Amino acid sequence: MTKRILVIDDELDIREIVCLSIEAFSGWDTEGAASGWQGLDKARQGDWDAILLDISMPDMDGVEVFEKLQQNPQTQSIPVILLTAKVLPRDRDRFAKLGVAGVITKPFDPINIGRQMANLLSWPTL
Amino acid sequence: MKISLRALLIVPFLLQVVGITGLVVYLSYRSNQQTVVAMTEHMVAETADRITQQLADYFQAPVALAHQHQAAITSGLVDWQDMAAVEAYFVHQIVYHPNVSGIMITTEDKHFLAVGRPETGQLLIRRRNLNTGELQSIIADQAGTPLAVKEVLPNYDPHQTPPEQPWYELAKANPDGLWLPTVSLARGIEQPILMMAYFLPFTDPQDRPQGVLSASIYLDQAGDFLRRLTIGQTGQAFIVDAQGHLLATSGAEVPFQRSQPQQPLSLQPQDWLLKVQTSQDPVTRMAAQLGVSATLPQATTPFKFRLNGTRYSGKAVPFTPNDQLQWQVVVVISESDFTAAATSGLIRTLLLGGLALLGSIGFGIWTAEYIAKPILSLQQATQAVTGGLAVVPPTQATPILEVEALRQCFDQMTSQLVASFQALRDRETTLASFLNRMPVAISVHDPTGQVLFLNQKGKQLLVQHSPQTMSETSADQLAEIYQLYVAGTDQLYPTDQLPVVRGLRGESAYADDIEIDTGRQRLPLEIHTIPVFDAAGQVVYSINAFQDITERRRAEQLQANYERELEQQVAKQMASLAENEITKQALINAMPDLLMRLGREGIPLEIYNLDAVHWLGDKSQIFHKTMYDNLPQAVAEERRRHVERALATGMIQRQEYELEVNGQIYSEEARIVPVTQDEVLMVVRDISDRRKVERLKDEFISIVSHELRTPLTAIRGALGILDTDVLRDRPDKAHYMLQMALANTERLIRLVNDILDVERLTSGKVSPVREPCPVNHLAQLAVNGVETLALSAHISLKVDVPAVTLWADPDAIIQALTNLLSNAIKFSDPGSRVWLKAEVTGEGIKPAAVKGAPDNPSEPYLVFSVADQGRGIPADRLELIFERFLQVDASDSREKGGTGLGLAICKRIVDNHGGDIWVESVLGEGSTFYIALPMHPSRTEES
Repeated sequence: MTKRILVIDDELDIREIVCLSIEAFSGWDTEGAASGWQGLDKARQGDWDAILLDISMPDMDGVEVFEKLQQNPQTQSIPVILLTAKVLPRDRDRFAKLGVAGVITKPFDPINIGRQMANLLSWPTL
Repeated sequence: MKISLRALLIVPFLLQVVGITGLVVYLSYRSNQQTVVAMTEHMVAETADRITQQLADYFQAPVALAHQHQAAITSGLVDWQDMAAVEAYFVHQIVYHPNVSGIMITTEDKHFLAVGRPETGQLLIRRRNLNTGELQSIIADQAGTPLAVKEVLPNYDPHQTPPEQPWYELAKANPDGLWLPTVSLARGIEQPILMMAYFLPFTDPQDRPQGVLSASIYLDQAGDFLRRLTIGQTGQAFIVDAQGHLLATSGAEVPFQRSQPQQPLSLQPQDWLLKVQTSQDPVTRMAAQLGVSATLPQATTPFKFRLNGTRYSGKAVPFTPNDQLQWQVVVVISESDFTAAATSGLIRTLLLGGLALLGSIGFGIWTAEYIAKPILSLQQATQAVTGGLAVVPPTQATPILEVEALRQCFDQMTSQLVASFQALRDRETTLASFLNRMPVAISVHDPTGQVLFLNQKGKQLLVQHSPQTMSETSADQLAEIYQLYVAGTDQLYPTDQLPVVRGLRGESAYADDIEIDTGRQRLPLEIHTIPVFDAAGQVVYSINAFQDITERRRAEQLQANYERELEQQVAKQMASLAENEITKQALINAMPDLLMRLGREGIPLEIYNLDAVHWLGDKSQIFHKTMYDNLPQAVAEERRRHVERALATGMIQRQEYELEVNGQIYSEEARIVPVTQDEVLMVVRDISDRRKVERLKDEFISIVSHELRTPLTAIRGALGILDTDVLRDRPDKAHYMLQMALANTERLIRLVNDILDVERLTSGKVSPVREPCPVNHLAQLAVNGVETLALSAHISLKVDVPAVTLWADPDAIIQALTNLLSNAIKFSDPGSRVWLKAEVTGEGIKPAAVKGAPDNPSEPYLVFSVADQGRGIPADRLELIFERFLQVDASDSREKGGTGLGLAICKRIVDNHGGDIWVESVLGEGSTFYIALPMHPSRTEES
């Protein structure tokens, strides 16, 4: 069954690239959300296998979005992978303590992003 | 006055004994005298009592007998008319009444019968013959038997006897009885007897007066009685009537005798009685003179007198047997009667006293000798000791405990004294030896200044002077004789200032400015002098200690030189140290660190630069509490571990921590440097600024990283997808991807340029190249740069600037204005307006809004303003928006195509020009950005 991935990122270009890469190279369905609030909304409404979540967003950053996802029973079981340009060691330490399924740093390889996700989520690779 | 011990012991003792013996004898004599007087008086009183008592009894008998006869006649028991019966009755009566001398009856018809007892064992009966009138006197025996006719007197009239004062009528006139003295011739005319007769008239049973009765007593019987009394050896008693007649006496004198023998016979008693004052006995006369009182015959009168060396004591006692008689009984006794016994007692007392005195004197002398002898032996021993300790004679033992104890103590003291003297001689020898061996010269001077003693060292120093000279030198010659000079001069030392002389004045003196000329050289001397006083406070010696101090002077000179040099070096070192200290202090002060030297327990020992950090504790208690008391518990515990580790390992430990002070977090770094086994040096530095810089740097890197990676991600993603064939069938999408890559490339370029600009402007390495710029030209160039943007955004630009010249870097100012205009256009709704204005502030007056300008600038400012009608900026962002990457909204950079560094670049440009930038904004109405720049460069900037 085809995986359904929710991509939450305020950068339109990034959303387009991520969605196109996953759809083209992994064959999974994707849907983008342009802000944290929109992402939370869509997360509650859909049946998602995973969420790719940007950290630096103006209205609500990715950490806050993740915490709200965890607090909601409807969404707390959805594995979340952070997709972030923050690559400093202290950022990594901070993310590791959150309890996310994994972190994929920007810029990423569009061909392999699906494979990276599958590895992090222990999904069988194609 | 001095007195010997023997005399002291004997004389007072003898005086006491003599005094006590004399006193005893005297008191004994006085006592005897008093006893004699008392005995005499007692004898007088007793004799007087006995006499008066006896007389009373004597006078009582006639009265009783007369009354008895009267009662017998009146009752008819005796027939008074029968004279023979009366005679027999009278004879019987007189025999049974020995105290009565005679009984008589006379009747009216001149019967007269009297029965008397003129001699013992013989009666004299006298009866009158009525017929002849003769009075017949017959001697009869005790039974009344006539023995012989004694005499016959013719013409005897009992009623007229005596003719001068007949008693018969007088008796009749006194029915109660009458005493009368009468002269009795019962012993014959040559031996008249004074008689006291008691007359009592009688009546017949019909109570008719019939005659007179009488009973009488002879007063010579009273004299006999008086003589019978034992009135001592020389005492006497006599009776005197109221007229001073001697009625009876115990003496040899016959009181009742015919005074005028040649005159006719008289029966009047006064013709026979003797006046007591005319008595032949001088004792009687003197006693009568002192005791018999005519005026107070009823008073008892004691008296005393001395006659011919004999003391007499007597008493006149009244005797009044009835109202008609007032007699006095006089008793006088010589005290000598009792003195003899008293005198013998006194002589006995004197003998005993004398014996006691002799015994006491002997005993006193023996006792004195007994006591004095051992004491005198002590005295002899004492004299021997004080006389020179030759041979101390042995003291004499004595059984007297106290003296023996004294003797033993004395012997002990003597032996100790001898030992002490010996020790003293030894010490004197030792002292002399010691003084002679002393390296210091010692001299002892008497009050005149002459030398009494000089030790060996002194003799060496004064070698040129003979002992003779020294001993003869007086105080005022000392300086000259010994050649003593004031040090360093040729002036003789003032004699009165010489220590020796001052010592003789009672001062303790010291001098080291004296030199002595020995003949070969001059030697500096140091002299100490002390006076020695006797008990009266007078100076007896002056002890002088002096020594040659040549070597010392030399050493002192050397030492002075050395010390001077040392002082100079020390001063130099001190100056150097002070410099070092100043330098060290300056270094410490210049250090941004708190320096503390601490003990193991954390108590600060030294603290420098306390204000370098935020001290949490009480600064006034800084040395009283441990360092740990002033830190939060967790930090303190970690600090303690670091200190222990530093002390254990000798390695410097480092601790970083954060403190909250007044709600603000500060970062500090402590380095713990072990100094000794128990001390550490603590260097604490406030690294809050460093931490802040690091944080900002990290943040900047993070933001830059993020900002760079975002377009790179888009470029990398787009190109990566295009590199595959997945969009082979989707050319529009492929073109979109290509456009995306290009746009993000542009964005990346702008971003890199802005970052470089910000860093270039922030580094301070780039100074604005100022040149005169027409402001309207600058404004125009800026507007040109954003004109295309404004057109596409449908924004109209309005420019209003004065034609003035601004000294500035034109490119920088244009960039700043372009940024502001670009932002205004981006955040304005289509159709709205953006204004660019400029104005010059008043010359010398700082515009209120220009924050960073000097208070009183000498140059005017040009203030640009860029105003829009956009959405406005929240008040809490007004300051932050000039920081890097801190847009009002992060998404603005994507939507508006900014890098987030525009305003940061503007602020740095303005800062570099010495100006200021700020914004005023009302949400929903628009914002106005201001740039204030000095019109001309300041002199400082020019220089």
